[in-house]
Amino acid sequence: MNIKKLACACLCLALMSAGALAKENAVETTDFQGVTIAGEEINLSDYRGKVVIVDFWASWCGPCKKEFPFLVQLYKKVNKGERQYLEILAINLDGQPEMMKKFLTDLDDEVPFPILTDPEGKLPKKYKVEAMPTTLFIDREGKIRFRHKGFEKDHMQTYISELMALLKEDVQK
Amino acid sequence: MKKFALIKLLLWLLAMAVSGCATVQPWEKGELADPIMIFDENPIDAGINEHYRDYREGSVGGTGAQSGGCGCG
Repeated sequence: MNIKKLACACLCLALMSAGALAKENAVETTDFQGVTIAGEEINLSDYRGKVVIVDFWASWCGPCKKEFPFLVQLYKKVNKGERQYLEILAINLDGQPEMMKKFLTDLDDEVPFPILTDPEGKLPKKYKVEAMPTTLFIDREGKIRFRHKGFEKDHMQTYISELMALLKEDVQK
Repeated sequence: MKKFALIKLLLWLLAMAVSGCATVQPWEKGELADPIMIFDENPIDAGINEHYRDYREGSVGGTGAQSGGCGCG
C-alpha cells in the first residue's frame, strides 16, 4: 500500500515538474502573416486564445506523409462540436505548388484546416526549422510549448498528451 | 618561382572546391529526395528495393541520397 502511495506521489511530482519544465522552456512566438491556398489572409496572432499547432511540411518528405493524415484526424476529433478548440496551420514548403496539390488530392480526407505556402522558405528560417516535418505546439498565450522534429508512430501518443495538457490549461483559465 | 606558381594553383583549386560547398536547409531537400538522385540505372526500382530493405533490416539510406530528405528518418 505504501509503495503504491509512493509511486503515485512520484508520478504526480513527475507530471507537475514536466508541466513546469514545459512552461519554463516556452518561447514567445513571433507573429507571421500569410495567405492560405483558399486566398484567405491569416495572422498567427489572430489565433491568440486558442491552442495552435503550426506544422512545417512538404509533399516529398516521407515522415510528413505519415504525419499529415494524423493531424487531420486529430483536428477532427478535437473539434467535434461547434466550438473550435484547436487550430492547425499547415505551412507547405514545396518548391512546386503542383506537388502539394497532388499530395492533398491523394489524401483520403478533406483537409479541414488552413494551408499556407512558403516556397521561398522565409517562415522556416524565422522559426529555426531543423528537420521536416517540424511541428510546434503553441498555447493560448502564444508561446511555443512543444517542438517536434520529424515524425514516427511513437509521436502520436505524445502529440495527444501534449495537446490535451494545453487544452486543459485553456479550460482551467 | 615554379614552386610558388604550383602553390598558387593549389590554393586556387582549394578555394574553388570550398566554394562548391553549400548548406542545404531541411526544407530545400525536395530535389535530393527525388528518386532520380539515386546513383543507379533504375532509380525507381532501387528506391523500392531500399524501402524493402529498410523494413527487413531496419536500416535507412545506406545506398544513396534518396530518402524522406528530412534527415530524421
